[in-house]
Amino acid sequence: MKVLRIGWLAPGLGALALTVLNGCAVTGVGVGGTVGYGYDAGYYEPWGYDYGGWGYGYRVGPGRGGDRRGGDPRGQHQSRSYRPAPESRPTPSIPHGSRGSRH
Amino acid sequence: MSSSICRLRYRLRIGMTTMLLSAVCIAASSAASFELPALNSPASAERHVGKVVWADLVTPDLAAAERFYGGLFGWTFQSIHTGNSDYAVAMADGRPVGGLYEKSIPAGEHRQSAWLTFIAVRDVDGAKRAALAHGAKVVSDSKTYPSRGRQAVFTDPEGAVFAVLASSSGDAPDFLAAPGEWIWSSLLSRDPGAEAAFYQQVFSYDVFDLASDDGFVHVILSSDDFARASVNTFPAGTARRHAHWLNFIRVDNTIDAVAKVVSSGGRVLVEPHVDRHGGEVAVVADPAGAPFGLMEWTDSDSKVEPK
Repeated sequence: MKVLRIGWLAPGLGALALTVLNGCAVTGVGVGGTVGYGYDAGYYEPWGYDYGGWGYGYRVGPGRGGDRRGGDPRGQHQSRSYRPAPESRPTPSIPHGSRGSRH
Repeated sequence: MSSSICRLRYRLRIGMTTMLLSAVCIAASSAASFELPALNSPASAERHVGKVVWADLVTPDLAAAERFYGGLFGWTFQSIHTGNSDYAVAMADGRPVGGLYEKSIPAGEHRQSAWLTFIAVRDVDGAKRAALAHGAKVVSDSKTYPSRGRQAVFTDPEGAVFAVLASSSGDAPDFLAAPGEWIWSSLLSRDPGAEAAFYQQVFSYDVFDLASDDGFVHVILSSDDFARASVNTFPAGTARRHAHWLNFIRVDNTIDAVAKVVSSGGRVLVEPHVDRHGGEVAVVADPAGAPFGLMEWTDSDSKVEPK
């Protein structure tokens, strides 16, 4: 019977060790929280958006390149704490060309 | 008699142990095989800091989201499940374009399903230091995912949520997005000047202020001499002014796409209208309410990028 108990104990301990290891792999525990297999980037935003007011002239898209500069916000109670690109530089557009072609 | 019972018990124990070990091994191997896909295949050393390189949808109903986006854009999906995570990689023409992540909303809470915008960086922890130094807060701390790379999620000074990603396979070359792929991103905010300054500090953007016909501030964030995103004042009459990123998917025909959104259970937030580039754009919401944009772009109209 003693032989049987030892025979039961060995695989039991093996299963326990694997279970613990598996738990660590799933949660990322034991690796400093820097590597994980679960995903935790899902984030719900506060409820509700309001897209009213997108009237004529309200444009959020890119231009075709070389769009007119301007829009100094100082007269509109807005801050301009960024460093604007030099006026001599034309406003860029999005990448062009089909996939695989380089420009 | 007693000996045969003993043998039977022994066999039962061995059998149960074998089954238990098999189950544990299967669970372990399924956890180990959970990997977000590489962004860039084949991998390269190319980097485009400041480029929007990925988007993840958080939704309470993954199956419904797959039906909606699959029907709308022809996306196919690769499911990844582990632990308490149900995630599907959306593929456009065989290329990964985004992720759909199912997460339940606690009972009694009213939360907004949304697409999370991932912006490329070289060094996530360096970007984190810069972001925190200029008013950001951590939503999800830096974490490395095999194959994908290292990422973190923050809120900017106005509370808009965004993520940074240092792709372990490099960043995809710059090209015009194909229909069904992300083509543009806009940040809607109370103070675009301050927001542009924040993102400039974190991503070293060149910032171009644009002349506008509506009296509001619109600026373009640029890197590598390409426009990457716009930052805009909320339009007049907006009641709930929660700063957020809005991503646009390229479509062949915005009006047709909007009709398909509606017939698939989504709704229209901003009707199709002509935007700065001369094509139609619209803002819609999927059946769970996550907003996203639709944008036409005719390749032949693209100008050669000025240097």
